[in-house]
Amino acid sequence: MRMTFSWLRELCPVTLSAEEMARRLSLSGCLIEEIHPLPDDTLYVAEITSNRPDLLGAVGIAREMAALTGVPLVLPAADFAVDAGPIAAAAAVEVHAPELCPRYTARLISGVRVGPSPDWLRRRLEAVNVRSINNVVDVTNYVMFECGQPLHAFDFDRLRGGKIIVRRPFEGETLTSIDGTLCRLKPSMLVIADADHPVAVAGIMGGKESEISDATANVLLESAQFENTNIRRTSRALGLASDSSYRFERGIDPVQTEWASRRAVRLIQEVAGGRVCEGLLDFWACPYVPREVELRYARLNKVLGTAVAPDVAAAILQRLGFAPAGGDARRAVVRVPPWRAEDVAREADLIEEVIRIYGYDKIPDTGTLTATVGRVSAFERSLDVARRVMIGAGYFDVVTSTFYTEAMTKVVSPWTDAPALTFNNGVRKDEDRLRTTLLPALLAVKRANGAHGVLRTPLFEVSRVFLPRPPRTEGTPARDDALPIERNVLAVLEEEDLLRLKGAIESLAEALGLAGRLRFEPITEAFFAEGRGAQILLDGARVGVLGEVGPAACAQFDLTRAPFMAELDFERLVAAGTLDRTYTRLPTQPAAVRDLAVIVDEAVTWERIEGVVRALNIATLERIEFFDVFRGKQVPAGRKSIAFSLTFRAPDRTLTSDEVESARQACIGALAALGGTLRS
Amino acid sequence: MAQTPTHLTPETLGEFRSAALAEAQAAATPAEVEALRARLLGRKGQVRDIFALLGQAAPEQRPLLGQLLNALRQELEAALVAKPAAAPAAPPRPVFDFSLPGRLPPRGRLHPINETIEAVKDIFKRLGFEVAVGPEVELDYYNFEALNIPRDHPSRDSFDTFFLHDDVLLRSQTSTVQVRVMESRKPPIRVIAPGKVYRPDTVDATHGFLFHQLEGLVVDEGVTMADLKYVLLEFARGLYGKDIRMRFRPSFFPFTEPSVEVDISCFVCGGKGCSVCKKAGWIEILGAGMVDPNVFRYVGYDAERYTGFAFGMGVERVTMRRLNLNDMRLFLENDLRFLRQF
Ligand SMILES: [Zn+2]
Repeated sequence: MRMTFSWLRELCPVTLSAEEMARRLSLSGCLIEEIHPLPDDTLYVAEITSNRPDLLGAVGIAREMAALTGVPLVLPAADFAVDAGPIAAAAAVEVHAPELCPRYTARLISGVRVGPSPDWLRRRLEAVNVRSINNVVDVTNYVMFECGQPLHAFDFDRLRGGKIIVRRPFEGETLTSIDGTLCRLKPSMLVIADADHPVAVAGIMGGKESEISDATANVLLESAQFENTNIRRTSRALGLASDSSYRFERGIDPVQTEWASRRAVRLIQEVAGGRVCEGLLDFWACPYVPREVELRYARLNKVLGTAVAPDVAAAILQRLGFAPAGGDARRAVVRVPPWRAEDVAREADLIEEVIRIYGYDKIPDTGTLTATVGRVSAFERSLDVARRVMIGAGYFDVVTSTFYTEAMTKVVSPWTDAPALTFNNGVRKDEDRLRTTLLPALLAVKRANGAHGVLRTPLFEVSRVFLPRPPRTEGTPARDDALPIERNVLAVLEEEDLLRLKGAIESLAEALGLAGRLRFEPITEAFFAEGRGAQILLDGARVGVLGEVGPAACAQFDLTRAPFMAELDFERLVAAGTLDRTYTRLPTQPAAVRDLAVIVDEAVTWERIEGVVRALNIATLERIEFFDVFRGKQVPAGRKSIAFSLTFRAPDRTLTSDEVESARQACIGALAALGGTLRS
Repeated sequence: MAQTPTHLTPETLGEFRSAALAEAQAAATPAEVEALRARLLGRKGQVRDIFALLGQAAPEQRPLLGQLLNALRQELEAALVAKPAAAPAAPPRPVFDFSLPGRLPPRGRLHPINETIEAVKDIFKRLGFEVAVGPEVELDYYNFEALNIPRDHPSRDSFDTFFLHDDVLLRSQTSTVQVRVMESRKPPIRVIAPGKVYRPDTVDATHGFLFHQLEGLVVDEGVTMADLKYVLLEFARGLYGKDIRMRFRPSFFPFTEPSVEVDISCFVCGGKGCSVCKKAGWIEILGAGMVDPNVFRYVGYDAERYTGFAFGMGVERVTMRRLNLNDMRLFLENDLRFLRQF
């Protein structure tokens, strides 16, 4: 909100500079975000938090200045001459929906001369960014910026029946507002109507029909209080907001409502003439009874860690308008002033009032927290290890969006057959799905990098995917059953080759205490190239997929060369693995190593070769290590040569060469059963 | 020089063998070969000394050790005789060009957002905080109601939210984790909760629909606002440097009372005013406050017995300041030319 320093100083004549005053206001709860010099004045731009609607007028800010400086608050004059007959004889107010309109007041001024505003009024409004309309409307805006109470002036002669009815709209009623919007009203809303039709959307905007014009002679001035929530809902439903609705939805001071009416009448008389009818039409469902709140001084200091003296605390509350209503040496009991009724209800609220004026800088910064060692979860530690392994292997950690387009969700879905969850994305309308896999996001990163000429993009990401929760089959549904399953997965993309990717995953598994426990089983999955996709199994259950990206996905992401990708259920890996390690004695006996190259059919996998050798159960066979696959010269078509080494060792003696040779021969025999022949 | 073992076992003999063979390999000139031969295999040579030790070895090992020793003598003899009488002088090696670029081993990078989260976590862990997590798709209850933000309240304005349906939304703040943690255990509590949050903002240099927050919560008997100040000052000094000053400004969050914005003295200009702090000398780094008694009521804590504080910061903003970067869109783009800079 904009406000000029001169306006504030009229209400609280401080001698501080505008800059110093702004600093002190900002440190006590009224943030002056910007200060701009004006000719002979200074403009404040204040950011008012939603709990302090009392600061949405100059009087409220001046009251803070008074509390901070001790300079008294001077309220402007609100008296006027009454020179016409009683209002009750000419007009009436009926409130049919008191639950939405706790207070409604009206005054009547006849014979006004509507015209341009005087300079002083126009300049003040322009400084706070309000366009001057005419003298009567300008006064209503002026008083709103002065004290925070929104007002509305009706052309009384346009109100049929000379009557104001505050009611809910009937089904199908409409109203054209001052700004030309056609409002379709609903019975959940509130309108100001005359005897026949709505003439204003209560608290939000007046209607065109009854607005003040040059022809207006008689003015009915509304000063009212409307229920916050309903104003907010109506304003949102109609897409209609104003300075008035902004204040009403935060709450206004219902006592000041009547003062504001007098203040505005005085100013109207001053700038537009007219004769004021005697009396006030005032509907007030339940007049304000101040709440009494207790503050225990010991509690104040216990929460803040301070040593604020009781009389200091009591004096601060009094300066802020909290009238004493009892109390003793240990506690204060105060009455909440009406302008803080929405916000202050409890001891905790009073503690804040005291400290914000007393000064947060007086709170010591020496804590008394005890020393403690926090637990670090297995997930945390494993995530740290996984990232170090992946980064060490050359992969870049990325952070991609949770939101997918429908097309992105169709690329692949390793964890669920159910469609991705949707939500209403008002910002980027087509990105309205929650992802069930990270794989497409990494492909999109690769594509974007490719557009910049970066063609090698080893990537990984650990993030959550959102899997629709299958309906509960037994037991009563828990509250969280409404939520999807969120699972942390680790996805990898690289360009080099499939075995390097598999190696990275095996290295990761080893680091997580799962060495040798992952199995890789070919699957048919359209995302991967034919024969180049596998699922990763741990104890028989799927914990991931990997493979070479297939032509369809490559085409979708404009990739000319297929990358290799994997995705793993990171939480399952953490749960099954361990970061604990124990020492294994190093061998004392020498090992005997024998290299073999065996030619087998293409269909024979390494897993089978290793399997038949292991099945021999040779006690001294310590290790089988794969070297490479060779195809070409000396290897018949349809067959391949696989080279590997066998390491033999006995824990307690050196093996003789005869022992080693007979073990080697046993292996060769087993391989022959697979159709393998030794390559010399 | 190969050391003669003091007692004889297959291991000590193995060590001697490796060392002696290495020496034999290294001997280059005929003179060197001859000297080594005398030392290892001469009449008073080391091998002979080792044979002498055989008598002290365990009886059951003696046959094996004897066999190994004979084999070693033959190996050494072969190695030392096989040396050419005069090894041709090796041609001088070309000068090594140290100006050639090194061959870089592959090295990935941690994303700057995750790097910041780790750095902040690290500081709070040293202060005894644990890391807590909660769902990103949340119930309205945890994102708003239990945080003292009723439906249709203007304070919801500052938390525009993506909804899946009526009661289910994408969390707009990590404060949700506060309530879940308190529901699941009793004080003392000292946790931080980093994570993704979502808000329907139009993307520009300083706004995104997805960003990261880091929330903190401490609850116990006797926790005061002075403790809050102490913890945040330690954090700020840990992250921004020892000379940082800090101040609290009143603010409003529905789930804390009192609520404050926390400013630190500008770590670039020290408070004199510069472009980073927009001439103010102060930089807002986070929001904080004492846990509102209403929040305790929602989770069933005795608000008379326990007090606590909470704080929350935007990870993107912290990162942007750390890297002197002014466009947060770079974080989700994952341009490797960008990621490689860190
Ligand atoms: Zn600065």
